[in-house]
Amino acid sequence: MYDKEMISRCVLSPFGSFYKEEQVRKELTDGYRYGVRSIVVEADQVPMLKEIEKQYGNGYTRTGMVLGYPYGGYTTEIKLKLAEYAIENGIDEVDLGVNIHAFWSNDIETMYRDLKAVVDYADGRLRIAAIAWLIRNSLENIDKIMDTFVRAGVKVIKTNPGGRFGEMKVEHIQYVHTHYPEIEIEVAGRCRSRETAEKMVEAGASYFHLSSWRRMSGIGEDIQFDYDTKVADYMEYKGGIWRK
Amino acid sequence: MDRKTVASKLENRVFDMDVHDTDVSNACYEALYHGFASVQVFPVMVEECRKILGGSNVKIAVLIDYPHGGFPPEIKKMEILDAKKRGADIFNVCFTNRNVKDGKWDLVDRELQILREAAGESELRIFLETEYLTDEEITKLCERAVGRGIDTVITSTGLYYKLDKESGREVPVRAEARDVRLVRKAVGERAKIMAQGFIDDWDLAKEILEAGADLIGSVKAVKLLEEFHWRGDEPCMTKK
Repeated sequence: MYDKEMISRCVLSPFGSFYKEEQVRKELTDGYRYGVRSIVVEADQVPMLKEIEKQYGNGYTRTGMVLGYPYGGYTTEIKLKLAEYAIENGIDEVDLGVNIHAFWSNDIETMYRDLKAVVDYADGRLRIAAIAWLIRNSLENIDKIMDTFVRAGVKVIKTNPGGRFGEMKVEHIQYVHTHYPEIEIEVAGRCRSRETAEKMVEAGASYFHLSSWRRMSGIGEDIQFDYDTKVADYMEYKGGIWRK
Repeated sequence: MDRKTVASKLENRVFDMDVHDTDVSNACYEALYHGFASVQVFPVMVEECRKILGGSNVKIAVLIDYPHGGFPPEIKKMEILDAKKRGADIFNVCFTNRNVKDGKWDLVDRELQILREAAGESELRIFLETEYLTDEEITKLCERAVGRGIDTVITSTGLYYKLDKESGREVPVRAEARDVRLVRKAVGERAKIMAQGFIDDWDLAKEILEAGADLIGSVKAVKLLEEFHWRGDEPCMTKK
């Protein structure tokens, strides 16, 4: 995969609390300039994203917002309010945290109703990428989650919320793509090498939600936060420390 | 400190993606049995907690805009009102700390004011995220918070891991007594301090309490109490 294709498959999301506005603006602007697939932000960053889209929009990069991310422990009412906010502000897609607590409690219908309410409310106005928590579930559970997603009308999954929850495996992608070929797959969760990304694309993945989108695309280092110095900057982790 | 006092300083957290409804009900029963101050849950769990804890002294603390704090304040207000309607007593709100990093104090003040209005007479807490803020930012935010009537400041969401420089492995970002002392200096006695962040053994909990924390939020609240029981400051009735 050439750098340009990798970039076109990247989803970036600069919304950690350590980001300064100038850093967020640079990430958003560069996301449009390079032509990433999507830029996902928190609700309060939507006006900034839309402002930068006006200036740098390229007709390809989608605007995204997190909704109930990542644990999905928000009530359906609040999720609907966020969906309304996203639609009113012209957002293209949302990363949706499902009520995974209900799923674990063997109350799949509650998870379904919560999910279905958002899908119905969006009514095609938002592309909904539901978080499937693949890495934390058995294949049997993955089937139950995916069946529920399909029943609710979900067409896109995000494999996990992100790196903290574990490292995505190519086999997970193969499994989901084989059994649910109609579902588009966005990978999130420690995909850290181009080689792995390529294998995942072969297995059926379309996009990659990456904190290391620049490094993975061969265009530089990404923003990291050093907890000791409390500085966020474009750094490389080498020899046990962050280096500029 | 005796066992009852220690228990009254603990908030029993129900936290992670793979919690069952039995984890929620058990956390509530543990809180009742041990005399914990409160339980900390996601909004979808509040009604279940209310069924068990209604009429007791154990409070229900609900997470608002957890974990990133990126809702516009008006949506946080809606979430607080929604949780209040469902039976929450305390609101643990993730604050928009990017505004603190940017020195946008007018936005910080506005958010604090909206949150205070939404919570009404109920206890209102905000997460400081001390792991992300400099000492100066922590101090300034604490001063603003107490000035706007925030009841309690929470040191951390207790969520993050960092790379250990020696081992190169990811380790949890744990609460630190140093941060508690800094926060205490900033808020004085005008607000309570709840420490949170992988406080999973009594040695750290003791250090944190001695540094000035009023409360500790932990998924290991029962373990902390048991460790205090066997290794703590004062002998308990059952301790030989």
